[in-house]
Amino acid sequence: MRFRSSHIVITLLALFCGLASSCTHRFVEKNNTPKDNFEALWQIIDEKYCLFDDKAVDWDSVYLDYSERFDTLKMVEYEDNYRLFDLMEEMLNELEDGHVNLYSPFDISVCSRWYEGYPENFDSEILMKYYLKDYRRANGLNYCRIDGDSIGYVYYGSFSDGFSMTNWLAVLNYFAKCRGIVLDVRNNGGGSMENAYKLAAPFFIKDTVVGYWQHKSGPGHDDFSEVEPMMMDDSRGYWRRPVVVLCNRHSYSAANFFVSMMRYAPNCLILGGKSGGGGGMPMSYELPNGWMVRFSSVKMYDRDTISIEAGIKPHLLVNQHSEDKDDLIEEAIELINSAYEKE
Amino acid sequence: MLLAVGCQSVASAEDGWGVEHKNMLNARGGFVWLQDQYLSPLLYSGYQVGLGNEWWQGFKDTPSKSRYVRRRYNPPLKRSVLKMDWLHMGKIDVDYGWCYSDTYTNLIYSLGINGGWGACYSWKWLHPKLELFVGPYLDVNVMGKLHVSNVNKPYSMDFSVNACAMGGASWSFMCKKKGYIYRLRYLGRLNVIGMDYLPDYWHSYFEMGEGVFGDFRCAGLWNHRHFQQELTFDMQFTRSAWRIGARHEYLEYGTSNMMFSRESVSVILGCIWQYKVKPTNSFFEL
Repeated sequence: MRFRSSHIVITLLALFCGLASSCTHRFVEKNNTPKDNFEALWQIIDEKYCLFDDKAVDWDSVYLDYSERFDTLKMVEYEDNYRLFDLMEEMLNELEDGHVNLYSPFDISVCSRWYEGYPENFDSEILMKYYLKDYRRANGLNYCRIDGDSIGYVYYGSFSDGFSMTNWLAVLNYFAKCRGIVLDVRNNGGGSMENAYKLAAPFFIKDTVVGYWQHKSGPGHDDFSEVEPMMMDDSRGYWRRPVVVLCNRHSYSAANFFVSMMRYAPNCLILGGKSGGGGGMPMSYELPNGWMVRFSSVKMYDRDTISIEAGIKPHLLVNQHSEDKDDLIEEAIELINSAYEKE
Repeated sequence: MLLAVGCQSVASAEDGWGVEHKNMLNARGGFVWLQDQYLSPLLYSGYQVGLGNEWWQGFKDTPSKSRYVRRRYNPPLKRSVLKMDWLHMGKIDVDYGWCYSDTYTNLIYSLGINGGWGACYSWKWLHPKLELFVGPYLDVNVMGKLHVSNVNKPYSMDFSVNACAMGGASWSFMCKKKGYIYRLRYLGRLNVIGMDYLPDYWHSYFEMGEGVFGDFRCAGLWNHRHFQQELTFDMQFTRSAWRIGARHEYLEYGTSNMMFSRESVSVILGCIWQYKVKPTNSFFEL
């Protein structure tokens, strides 16, 4: 046999290209009609959502109710994307869960049913005018001394705002001569769980079980792992004087977990309205059209293994009525002062 | 790169002085398609760039010692270099990729390191210029992936250690006018057996941090396929040699509810050099 370079070149090229093309069909592609997106959305929630036990929703009947409506939806013009979005939002809001959102390039779905009908118990204008007049900031922590410098006040508006333990200890150091602290997490929509642990750490004297969690282990509504303890394992015990935590219905998610956790800290009292809930840690996943759905996927409980999804009842229920003072802060001041006088 | 040089140094030390190394440093760029159903059910596609180093070396000394002593340099593609039957080779590649979903609404970044070591038996077949080689190869593959939009589930990782079958062919020829040597080489490898890692479909990264790490499992062709092939053309130019080529890589593994696939096609540009250190050239010689 007589070899030529061209034979070899063609053979090796054919080998390379042939093998390359033979591999490309293995990816799993999803169809992208409104019905396909509905099916994908329904299935993601059906398999991954963790709070069906807490919600009075029959997810199978939701499928039947909405399936036909998606069947009739046609994607002809761009406006139809809004109709698809609105219908999906309506379906997701059946869950009445603030952690369930749909993200598209043009809108984010929001469920407001979980806080409707509850008192606001928070007025930022009163707060700024009468209490946080001359405040300091340690990253996400806004703080000052109130009531003639006898009480420390910290407003933390979002658990997504970072702060370090150094920041937090500096704030506590600033309150060294104070009788107690008012820790305000009203209108705090949550964020990082790590920040919740960090904020609570100085008030715990020893490592404590502060709750439990349970993750999904399969597609069934009851497929969960065993409950696992959530530990406050960074207890510092830096602050042993009274602490009053203020919360309202908008204290949600990580703030809700923080309120639940602080119930087990010594010398701590929860004051205000019922917290917002959000006791399912969220995750997100994509739909075939590229939109994202966020949903609760990890179930959290308090120390008595009661779900914290519905919110935490405060030790002392106080609502805001005045227009020239913050009734919750005033009540907290009174409580701390009376505890000091008793000592 | 440091790791590559390190690997090479170890190999040199083990084999002793007087063994010739052929070293190829390359840069790559191309397209990548990625599916990671832990992060997203969708197919992502985008771009990938990378750097790599590959070395080849005989298990024993070359037969043409006297000539090396005389010239102390051998053109990188000189045929005589690979006359021994058994060779061993190693490589390390670093790749960085960025891929978009079909709808351009989300983005996955990836950073991967792929390295390995293999041995080849080579022989000429049918023609003195045609050389074939086959042998085993141990492959270590790690790639971290970041989905920029996911909440509490943004990271995923490919990890596998596999024993592979490697094979290839090369065809060398000479430009008679200038006396330069050219070589076309095909090299492919396919995993046979090893182990891989699967994240737990139901878990977030936060839970992983709390001790739920996913599963390591036995991987073989029945549940894990990793195929890589390269077609390269090496060109001698005066005392240096340069490489252009193409690489294709395909990876696929998973379970019934979670698939991981990655395919990339890239262009390779690189340079080749070879060297041989004789004991007589040592600084410590008196």
